[in-house]
Amino acid sequence: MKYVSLGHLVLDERIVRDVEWEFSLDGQVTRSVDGALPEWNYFSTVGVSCTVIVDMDEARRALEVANDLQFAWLVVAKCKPSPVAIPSQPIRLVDGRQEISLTLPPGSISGQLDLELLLTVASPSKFHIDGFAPSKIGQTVFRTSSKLVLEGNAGQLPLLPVSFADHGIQHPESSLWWLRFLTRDLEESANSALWLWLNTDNPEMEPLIEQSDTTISLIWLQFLQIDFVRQLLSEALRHPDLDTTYTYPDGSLGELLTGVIKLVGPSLQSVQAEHQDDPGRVEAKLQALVNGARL
Amino acid sequence: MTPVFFCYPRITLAQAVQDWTAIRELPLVQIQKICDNITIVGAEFYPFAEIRSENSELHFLRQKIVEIAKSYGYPNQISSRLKVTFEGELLKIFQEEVAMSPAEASNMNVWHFFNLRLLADITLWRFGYFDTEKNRWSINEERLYMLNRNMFGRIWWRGYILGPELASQLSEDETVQILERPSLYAYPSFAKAVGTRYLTSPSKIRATRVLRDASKRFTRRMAVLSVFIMQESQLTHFVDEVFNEAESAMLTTLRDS
Repeated sequence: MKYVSLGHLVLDERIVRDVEWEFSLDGQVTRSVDGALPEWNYFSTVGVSCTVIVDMDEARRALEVANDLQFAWLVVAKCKPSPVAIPSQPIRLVDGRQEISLTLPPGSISGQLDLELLLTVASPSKFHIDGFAPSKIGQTVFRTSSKLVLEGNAGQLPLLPVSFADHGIQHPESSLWWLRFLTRDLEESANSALWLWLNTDNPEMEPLIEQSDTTISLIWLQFLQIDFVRQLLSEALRHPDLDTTYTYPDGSLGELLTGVIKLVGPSLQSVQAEHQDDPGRVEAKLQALVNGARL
Repeated sequence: MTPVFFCYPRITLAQAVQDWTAIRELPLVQIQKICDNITIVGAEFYPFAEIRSENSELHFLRQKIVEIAKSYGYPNQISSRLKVTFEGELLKIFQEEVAMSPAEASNMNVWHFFNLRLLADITLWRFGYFDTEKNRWSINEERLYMLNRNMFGRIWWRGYILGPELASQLSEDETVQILERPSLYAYPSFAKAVGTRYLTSPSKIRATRVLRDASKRFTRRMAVLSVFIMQESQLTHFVDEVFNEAESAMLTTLRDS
């Protein structure tokens, strides 16, 4: 079976087999424990290696490419919250088992490490190619990923007490909170895309800001949670690029919005239709789910 | 040779909010005095820090930055254009004097210390304004607390990803267009190629619109294409091709309107 992505053929796990990730710390092979490297610190050198088996003839047949087209492997490391990607040196694809390595020097990574193994066109064919065969440098025909937790971030939503009067809100003493979307980039980490502001001008919000374990603050928190998820739903319904069938990175805004949609319906289209028809019903459903999850 | 990285003091968000509350009603001259006397005594650092920055280094860094700010008119208010030029100078200082690792620079608590303790007066001079009616400072909170938009952290990352020379030629809006799309421009070689090519776009279609249009085109193409394999010349060619498309689209729109 062949898979067509946006414009060219790609490979599946039956042709690219037995992908295995291995890690080392300062040159010593190490095991990840629950997806984390416990001995890691900023000054560690982290080695990432990925072994993989490919039947070259089968791959070429599946991709319908000429023999002179060359592919190369790459491992790419991205950290959250750092905005930098670090690629390995490309390794030319050969038949059979291969190992692709990336060394991450001290000080270069922190937070959560997302790793991606890519097989891409390294050198195009000199022959004209018809159909869906990959033909341009960089076209990716296989990708798979792994991740490592280096530092716990607990995935907390950034929360800040703010004077709403300073932000031009009329009658600020009555306002409660403000969910800010700092970016609508669906691949971006939800923790950096969202920012929840609590209004310091409203005296009723004081228990939530100052004493978060009192009965009144727990009631506020319950209300806040429902409103928070309701605003996420509203964003998910109107986001022009959200595709709930796509797998967004772990912890990303896309994953969060997809999760909210899947909480209330089987697909984005069905929830949109239901919301258009009776938004109150969708919100009541959401309230039941959010409150139910708490019970 | 492994580079030597210094670790800088850190303050939590809760402490940063407290600091902000404590200084916001003070006149700039008083805030300046507090910053001048900042000390690392009792400060928290990265637990495994090999080299901690000392008081003397922090005071030296502060002194250098304040001197540059003074040469641009600090503590008096200056034009936005001059403030941007001032930040261009800061990029160089950060590269020369702040031996911070990307790992450390990814931690917002470090930047809280820069924004609200070591250089709070400069942060307020650059982004704040004194509300004479309320008798207190106002500032967009993003400049204090957000990793990608805070006063000093964003400058460090600009220098690191784009290099000080290119970063100082791009305006705030232009840099934001590039650095706030990490899913697209996380690879420094690619981000630099995009920034460099953008600067050659005809001025009438610059105004960031062409960058926005090119970014949309990159997003579409990079769903199936990886730039990590490309050598510098191939990267330049790819970026050029996309910008040519974006520019002709912009020019056609301009002509038609």
